[in-house]
Amino acid sequence: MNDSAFSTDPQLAARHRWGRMFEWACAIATWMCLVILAVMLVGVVVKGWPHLNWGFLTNFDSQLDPETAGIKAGLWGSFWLILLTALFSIPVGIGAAVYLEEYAKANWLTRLIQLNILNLAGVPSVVYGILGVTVFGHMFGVFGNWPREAVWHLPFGDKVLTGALTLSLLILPVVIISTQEALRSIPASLRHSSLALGATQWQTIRYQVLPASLPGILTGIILALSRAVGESAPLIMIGALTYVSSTPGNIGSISDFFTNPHGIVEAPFDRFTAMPLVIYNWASQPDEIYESLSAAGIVVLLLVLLIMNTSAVVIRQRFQNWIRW
Amino acid sequence: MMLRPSAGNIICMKASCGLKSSVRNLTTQSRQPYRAGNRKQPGRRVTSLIKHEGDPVLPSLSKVIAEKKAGQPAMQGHGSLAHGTPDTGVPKIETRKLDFYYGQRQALFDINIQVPQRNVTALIGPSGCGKSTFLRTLNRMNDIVDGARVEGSVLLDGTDIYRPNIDVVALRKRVGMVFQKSNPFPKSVFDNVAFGPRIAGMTDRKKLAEIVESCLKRAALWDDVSHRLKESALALSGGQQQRLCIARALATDPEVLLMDEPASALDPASTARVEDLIFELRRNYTIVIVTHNMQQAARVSEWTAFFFQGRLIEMDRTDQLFTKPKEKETEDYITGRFG
Repeated sequence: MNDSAFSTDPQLAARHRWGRMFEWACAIATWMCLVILAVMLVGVVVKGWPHLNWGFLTNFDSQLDPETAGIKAGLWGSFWLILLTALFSIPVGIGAAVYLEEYAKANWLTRLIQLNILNLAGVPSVVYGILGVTVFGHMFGVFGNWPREAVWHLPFGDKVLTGALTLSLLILPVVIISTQEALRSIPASLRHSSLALGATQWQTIRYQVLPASLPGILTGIILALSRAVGESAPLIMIGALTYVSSTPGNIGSISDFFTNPHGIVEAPFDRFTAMPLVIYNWASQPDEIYESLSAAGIVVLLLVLLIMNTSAVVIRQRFQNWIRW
Repeated sequence: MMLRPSAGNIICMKASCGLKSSVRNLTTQSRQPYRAGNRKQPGRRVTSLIKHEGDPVLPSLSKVIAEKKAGQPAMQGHGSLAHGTPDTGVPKIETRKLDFYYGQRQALFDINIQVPQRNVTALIGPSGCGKSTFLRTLNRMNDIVDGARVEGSVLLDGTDIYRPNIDVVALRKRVGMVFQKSNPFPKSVFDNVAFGPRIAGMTDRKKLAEIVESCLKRAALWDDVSHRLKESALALSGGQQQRLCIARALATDPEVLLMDEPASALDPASTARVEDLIFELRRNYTIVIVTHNMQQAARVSEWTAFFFQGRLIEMDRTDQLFTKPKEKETEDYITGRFG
């Protein structure tokens, strides 16, 4: 191919060959991920297909009649878990990140806290489960040995609230770190110009820094919450792995929010299960039909995750059109 | 007040009015013969001659002085009294024995300066000489920097702004600032200008609209943006963005405007418009402007202070400083021997 008069480099062809080989290696790596993912998805959908109907979402789990078993309890359990987890972790996470980024002075204490948060983000989730059961489940045992010897039953134990608080602890480091990243991406000039116009620091944060970093913050939060949706280990630790044939607060459809408003208050203090736990429960059963059921459950879980991640992307796109640096 | 109405000042104002039509010397960088009859830019020719690489500087300076005297006889008699203490009348801002430290490193040494009211005062000097640091001590923007420390005093209308009970928020409302890089908020043009009044508690929409309009007009931006107030400020051109930042600073109704190299990131045409604007604003505001560009200092300012290695070397009327500097360092700098 090469004109020998044009190039005198004998290695040139070999160099080009190496280049092409590297490109192929990278392409294979990419496609391997996609193919494996596609095979798994197709396999799961095919296996779960007989159960993928509306009844699967609106029926409870059933030992007697697995044909009509559904994931309703897990779906609503996960809904309440995520709702409460968001409620706890968003204000605390954003608050901590704003303090660390905007207010705290750069001294050894701040660096220590920062280092701890980074480490906590890498702690295995089962450890958070132990923490959750000790702190929120048993309340350090100060109210007696839970559950049998407890003199006075606190509304915690193995209830939705304990699960949500535990998951909040789990994702807090992630929320804080991603919020900090979002805040850090705001140029200092924005803060300076706001301060130079006579804004207080609170006004600068409230009207300039937070609105500008909102897409980044929301994206981080949604990704953290979708991690929480898929968690099972901490929930097993706090004792949520049980066969539950009721939804928290007996709210099993959207209309129940209006017909049974009392249930909204009761739900956080009710027993629960979650989607990953229901799937785990089915997968450990010997019967073949449960294999199909767990596949259907996985599809539903993946759909929920897909919806959450897509909304993160949409939010990011929506805001980025307006905010440009 | 220093600026008594005199023939020279009137000529200056006329010069500023005529500027929009004339392309600046800045853009052409070539020496054109001075036209004695060109009344539109009597002061401007002078400085464009000063710093050109390879110019026979000193001979041209003497020529410049002669020409300036012929063109503006009334400008004489405003000379300084003595080195470092020029006659600025009642100063708007005065610093006394001002030292500034970044941690252990001292950045400003014993700055004593008087900034005259309703004038443009330019701060010039080589990079790292402390002129920007000094500017930021005037509205306490340095407070943000960790480890920054100020000694001595800065008097605004006779009140020390570093007194313990001074509220920096109130101070910054009186002393506005425009930054080197235009940095509009990622909001609409309207919201950018309205931000200052809004955070100060103004909610009346009609009043806000009035303020926005008048500030945009004063910043010579109204004609460009009146039909796109709701659009993102970041869609404006660089020069428009910088004028928007000036309009935004005007909206808090400040007494002093600090400008940190406001035109350094702009193309020549936008620079010209920003300079016109500065020249206009001088009538109502006390302006302190940091600039790298000596021609710019000469074009827009009545007073110039030369900073070198954290010290104030010399402050004088601009024409005096550029034509008859009293200090060796000043002369070396303005003739291009260093910096």
